[in-house]
Amino acid sequence: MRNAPALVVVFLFLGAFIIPVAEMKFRKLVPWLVLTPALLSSSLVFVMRARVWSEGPIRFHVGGWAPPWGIEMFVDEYTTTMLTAIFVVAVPVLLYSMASIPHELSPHLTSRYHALNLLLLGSLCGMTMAGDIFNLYVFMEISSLAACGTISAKGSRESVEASLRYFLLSELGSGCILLGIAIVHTLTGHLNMGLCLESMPYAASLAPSNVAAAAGLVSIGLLVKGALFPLHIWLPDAHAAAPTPSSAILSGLVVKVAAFALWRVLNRAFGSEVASSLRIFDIILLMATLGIILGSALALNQVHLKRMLAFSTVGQVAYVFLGLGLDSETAVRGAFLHLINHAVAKACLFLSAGAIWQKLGVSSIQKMAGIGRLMPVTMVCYSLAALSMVGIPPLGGFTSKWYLAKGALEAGRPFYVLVILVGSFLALLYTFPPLASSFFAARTDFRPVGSDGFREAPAAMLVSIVILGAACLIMGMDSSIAAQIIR
Amino acid sequence: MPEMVQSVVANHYYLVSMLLFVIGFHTMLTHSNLIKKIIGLNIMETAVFLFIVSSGYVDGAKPPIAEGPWDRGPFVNPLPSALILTGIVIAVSLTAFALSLVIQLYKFYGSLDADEIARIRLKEGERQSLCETRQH
Amino acid sequence: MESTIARTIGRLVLQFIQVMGLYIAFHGHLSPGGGFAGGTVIGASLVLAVLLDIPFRGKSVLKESFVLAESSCLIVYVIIGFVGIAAGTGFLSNLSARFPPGTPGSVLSAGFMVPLGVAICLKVASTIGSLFWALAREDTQDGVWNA
Repeated sequence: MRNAPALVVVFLFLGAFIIPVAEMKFRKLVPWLVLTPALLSSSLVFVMRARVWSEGPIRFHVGGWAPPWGIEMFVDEYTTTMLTAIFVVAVPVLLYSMASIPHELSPHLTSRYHALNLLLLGSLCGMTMAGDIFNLYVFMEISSLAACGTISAKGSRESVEASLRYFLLSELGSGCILLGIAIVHTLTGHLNMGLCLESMPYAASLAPSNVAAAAGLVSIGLLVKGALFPLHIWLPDAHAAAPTPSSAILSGLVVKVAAFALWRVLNRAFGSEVASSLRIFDIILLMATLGIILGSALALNQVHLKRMLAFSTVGQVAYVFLGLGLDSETAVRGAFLHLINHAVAKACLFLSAGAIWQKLGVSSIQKMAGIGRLMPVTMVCYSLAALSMVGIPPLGGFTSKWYLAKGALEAGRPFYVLVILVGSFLALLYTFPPLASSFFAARTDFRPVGSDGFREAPAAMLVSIVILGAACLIMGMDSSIAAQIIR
Repeated sequence: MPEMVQSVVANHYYLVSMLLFVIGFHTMLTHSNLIKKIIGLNIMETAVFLFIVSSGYVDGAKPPIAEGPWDRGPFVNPLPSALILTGIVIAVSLTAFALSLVIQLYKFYGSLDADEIARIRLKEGERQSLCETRQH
Repeated sequence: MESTIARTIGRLVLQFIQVMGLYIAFHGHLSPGGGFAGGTVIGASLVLAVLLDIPFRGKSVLKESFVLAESSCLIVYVIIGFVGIAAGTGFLSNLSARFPPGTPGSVLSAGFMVPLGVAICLKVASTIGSLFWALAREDTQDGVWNA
């Protein structure tokens, strides 16, 4: 399908805008309107994948206008990997949100929330496929606004405050990105990433400090959105205070797409010679190292389960940046693998945490004793996801950390293997206590929230949790999938 | 020295827009009043729009509207203006969203000052620990 | 605002503002402006109506009409894009999807620019109007805007 890149985004946006109208007249249609665009778009992604892997990158020109007059959407193998990650996480999370949002938000906000969710997903897809840096900026702003909207939909004090802090820091970054884009446009006269790449060496020879300023501004903005170590301050509050499906999408997808966008801009708009001459990757490596160690360490003394998971995201996203910063072939593959593995695992973790909160009213780690017997399926999937994040062999996380370590050796920097190991050890330290106490500790008295006596999570939520948990397992055991994902 | 003065005079639009950008950035970071932060965001974005628009200007050229097929004179570059239209719309939406969040926060905390809100939260956090289970 | 003078003048000027906005939107392909600018002008007229508390006929169903305007304008936009797909030339293609080009320089020309401009104009107008309306109303329920 020639128009698949545009249609992926269009279906999601169309769904998002039909939902408020449907809410006024046909309330029953809303669940279908949420799931149908997601399923349609994911089937389009599969079609695009098959085409890109057999024939090469797709360049879609909107309206038939070729660059430099028109907007281009560029889809290559890395893009389809990112899109697959988006939809593998998004479809179960949307299914989960059908069941959990009526309990978490006020009733007049649920369909607005679904609309914002679809807008968020559509803009993430658009950001992934953008072939112009300005188009990237527009989709990035849509995703930022939609994300802040879904966080503040909860209406509680913490969520509004977290949403405002995320918004202010994220827009600070966006202002820098816009200035960087403006400087690149002034220097090269192009906004299309391919054409920028061609004119960048000449521009760098004319005005090297301008190019450095533009690259620095764009990187700082995208690093704020990707929550790399010193710029991660907004993340714990935002991801812990959001409604559960939003936490899953934010932790699993939004920060990753920002990392992907950074890699894409640095490689395709600026070119790797410019990027390496400015030593941006070294700075990213330093921040990633600090992020892995300190992010995982800060997760150790968290009491609230979702806050611990949010800090753990800070640590794990730093792994992705580590892989992208090492800039060798295997390291980049490891980064993409870890992107998918962590997205799936973190989504599963957040969804199980939400199920535990909804069914048993438990939100802190100390009170998790004995839950394993009350909600066995949920906790088994939680364990699979947690162990995958740590990097235990038969699960997905091991493959990605292996690739990252190999990439570090290939780039000639064995120090980062040590960093990866220390990070995994810290992850084990903060993952193990909830698991152990939930399965092996004595059961305390729980008052189940909700009238039915059955303690396990409702069906829709359970299906999504099981799908994501199984995905963690499958990605680790079947190494051909890993090879398929990143060639 | 005279080359520097000459280049400053020639590029004074860029200089002013950078100055405005830094003012907006600084306001967003340092002032604790939430409304001032939003104003800082607007100043920052306006500065970038000024930068983009002034980069499209061609000395002594006409506005980019063709009177007819014979009109081929030098035109000002229309692309930056189109970029800025999109940018202005984005800035308006951001401001509206931020203001609605600030209104909500004011209803919750009774203050528009970020430090004050942090202080209130700290005091409440000491009084009520985070790890009690919350029923519906 | 309680002033009678302001309200009367506002009622008079409102209609001219809206005609001006529609003019800017319709002539987007010929002169500066287009959908966004025209929509902002019409949105300003809605802001004026809310600010001065000017009664107009659809005021009781304003909330639903904002939602309807935004959604239907996007659906119109997407349908115009799909016409391009149906003609086999790609999403949002203009002359290749056989939209009537017209004579250059007249209002009804340039393929789908005019319908698109009008759709964008109404969407932006309803956005600005609804944003201001939401922020200006004092009656909210539970601290959440009862949208």
